[in-house]
Amino acid sequence: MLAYLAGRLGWAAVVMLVVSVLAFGLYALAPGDPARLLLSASGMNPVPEEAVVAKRAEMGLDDPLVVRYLSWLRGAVQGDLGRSFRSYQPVTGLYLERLPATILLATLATLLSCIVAVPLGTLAAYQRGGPLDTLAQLIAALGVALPSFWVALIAMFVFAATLQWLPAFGSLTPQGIVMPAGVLALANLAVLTRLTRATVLDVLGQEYVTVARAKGLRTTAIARRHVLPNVIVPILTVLGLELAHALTGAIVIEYIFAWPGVGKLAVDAALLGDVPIVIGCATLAGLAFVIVNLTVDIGAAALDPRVRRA
Amino acid sequence: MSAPHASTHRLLAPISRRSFLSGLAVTAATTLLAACGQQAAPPAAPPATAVPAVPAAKVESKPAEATKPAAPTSAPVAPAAAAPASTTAPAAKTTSSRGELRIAVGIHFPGSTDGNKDGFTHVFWGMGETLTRLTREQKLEPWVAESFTKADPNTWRFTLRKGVKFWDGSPLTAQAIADSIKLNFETQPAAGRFISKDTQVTAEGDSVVVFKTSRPHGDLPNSLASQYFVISKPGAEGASVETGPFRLTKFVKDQEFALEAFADHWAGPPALAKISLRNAADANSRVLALQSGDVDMLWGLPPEVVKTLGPDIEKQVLPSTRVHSVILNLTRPPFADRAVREAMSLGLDRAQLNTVGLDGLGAPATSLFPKGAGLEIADIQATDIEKAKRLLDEAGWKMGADNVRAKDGQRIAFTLYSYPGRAELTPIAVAMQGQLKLLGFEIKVQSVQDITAQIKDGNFEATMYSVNSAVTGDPQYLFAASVLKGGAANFGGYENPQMEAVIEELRGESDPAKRQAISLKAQEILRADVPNLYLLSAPIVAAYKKGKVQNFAIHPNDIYFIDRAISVG
Repeated sequence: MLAYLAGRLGWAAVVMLVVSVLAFGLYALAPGDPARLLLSASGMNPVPEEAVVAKRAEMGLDDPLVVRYLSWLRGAVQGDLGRSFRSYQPVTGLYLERLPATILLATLATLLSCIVAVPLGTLAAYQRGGPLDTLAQLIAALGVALPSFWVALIAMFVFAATLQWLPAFGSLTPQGIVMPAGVLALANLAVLTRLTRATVLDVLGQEYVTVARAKGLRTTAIARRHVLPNVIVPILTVLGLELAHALTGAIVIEYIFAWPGVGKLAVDAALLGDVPIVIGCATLAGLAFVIVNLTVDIGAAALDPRVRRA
Repeated sequence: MSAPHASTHRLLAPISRRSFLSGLAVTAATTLLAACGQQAAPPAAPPATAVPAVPAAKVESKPAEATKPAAPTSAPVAPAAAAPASTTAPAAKTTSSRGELRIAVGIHFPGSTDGNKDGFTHVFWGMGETLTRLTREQKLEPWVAESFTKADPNTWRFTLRKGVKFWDGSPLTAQAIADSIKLNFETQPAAGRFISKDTQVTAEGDSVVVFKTSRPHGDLPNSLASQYFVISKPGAEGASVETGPFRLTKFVKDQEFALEAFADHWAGPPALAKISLRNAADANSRVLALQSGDVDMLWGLPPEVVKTLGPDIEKQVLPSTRVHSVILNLTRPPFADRAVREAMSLGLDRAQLNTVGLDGLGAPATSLFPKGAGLEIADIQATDIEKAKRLLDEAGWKMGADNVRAKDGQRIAFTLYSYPGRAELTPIAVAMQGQLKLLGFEIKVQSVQDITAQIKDGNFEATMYSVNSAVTGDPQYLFAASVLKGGAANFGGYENPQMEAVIEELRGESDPAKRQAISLKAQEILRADVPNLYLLSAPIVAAYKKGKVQNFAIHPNDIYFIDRAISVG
């Protein structure tokens, strides 16, 4: 198990290094001169050339990219991701300020989708071809097919503008979180329901289930002792991915609901050409994925001895 | 039943599947609770940058207000609604501020608590003030200054209004103005574009500020209306202390901010007690937030969402002083030929561009200044397709078999650049492409992120561009920036000694009527040379629940929005 852990950690470090190079590469790829974009975003129009030159020097943009990457990396491993072009605040601080809101949203949405999807998918598998199965399939298809920005706007139109039950903008209050979490859960729910249904069906066809049935075990007992333990690992994996995705900022949802999370931080920064924040967010998004994946791997290993031995 | 624990895996062996799952559930629940707990304590949201509390100075008697409540022009304000407190106690010093106005915007959100770093938004939101300002008719009037005079061609004297105070209660002295201008010059490189940085600013006693320029500067009072000359002094924690009717109480970067009435404002307390602002980039969600009652007012809506506003929403629309235009590169074919430039201008149907790009809410431009700029305008542009064809024929640009005109093997085929910073520019460019195809122009429209980087070295034939044409309410600034040699927006390499001379004459003239006459002369030169094509004046759109917002009218110059008169019903 220790070897397994060490191997996973090693890979995580490699992945993070690659992510950091790719993220920092945004400097080279970002169109235009960050100094000029910054000045024109602050309302200066047209932007005088002398202001651009002064800004470039101030932002340290005149060093070669590799030099800048190495000095950035040195800071990054110590938790210093540089400073915002616009506000000069440390990127790490800005990110951490926004992180609780995103964690709250991501956790709620993931829990919500889990609570609905696992029972729904399981029941659908047990009643294959029945009305519940059709309903589950429909929800799954809709959840995948409908773009979340559209669902978000329709939800706002119905629940905020028309019925006036909920505030249109998301906020860190019980009412304010319902719509963002609900809409975010819907997309996850679709994937998870389909997965649960497929996995349960697969397990139900296994010989040990037939044996259990032959032994005369009740359906509920079979489900609890033989089916659930075997479907939990793949579900956990997908759940982890979805949580990681939501943690990196469900960008569209945060944008539409003006949710004060890391996704909105990244979008706002991207729109204004604040490259250090975008790079920081990209790197930390990679980190979130790596951590969640690692946790899921360890969890899976704890739950399923086959994974440990592999 | 449960999987056998392999003895080699001691580390995890003691954990049964069940205990792992229950552990997982507990962890998830704890995380959730912790995150929820954060919401009770403010820091779940990024902590509001503490704006240093300013001790409220006591209200002292002050002459009646200098600013009249704005008479709404484009939309009637429900007069039947409860009369504001100020009418029952006319102009009395005891008038108190009341009510809260909640606004959502996608642009013009302050970037800093320091007005000197972000004067534009501080003036816009009623925090910062300048010595002079522009009225809704775009006329210059003294603001924090009471009056100004020209002592000699290089010297201007400004007398300050009495009783002006900073938010911290300290009086605004002439020396404070001199210090503030010095800070403006140091912090903002572009301030020098408006007033030369070698200008000497000195205090004469407590209430007179003297500006000595190195060469005549006829529109100096206008230049001082620029947001670069916002009056401020450094306060605690990087925030500035200003003089406007509203002061910042909460600032969460890119998210929200709150303003409260500055009771000791020189013109008396503002009508509103509180303003809160939410930044939401998506225009559709802002509209839904207005309809749901989350916010009371929206400012700066994109034209295309206006038709989605319901009947219970009142809207004001006004073509602004911002002009969308096309800059032509005069140093390259085909626009080195004046006939092609004029034909292109004649071939454009600007009313149709307005419909296509701005849902008909803007206004076609006839010169470099829009109608609402309060400046004299020579109508130097019109549509005349037959004349355009004739001009091109006469100049030797003949229609080829490919339906593109050409002369000596040079086709009228070029790329028209656009950029996403102003979303409507690209649809307008595409509409132009269609209109000019009839004349035998082959245009490729290309949108680039950083338009200035693309065009600054003259590496283009034609580009969309957009400027606020009347930042100072005076013609000099835009002429200098766009049609003089070396001007910051003169990307097309236009130069004409005649134009240089006329603008030099403008610099030396300070009589407003004569300045307008000179401006007309300069516009005639533009008519003859056609260096740029002026297309449309962009609209400003504000919307609010019927009867909710009172004493408000859009200022055509988008450097102003919140003033002390705006109130809620």
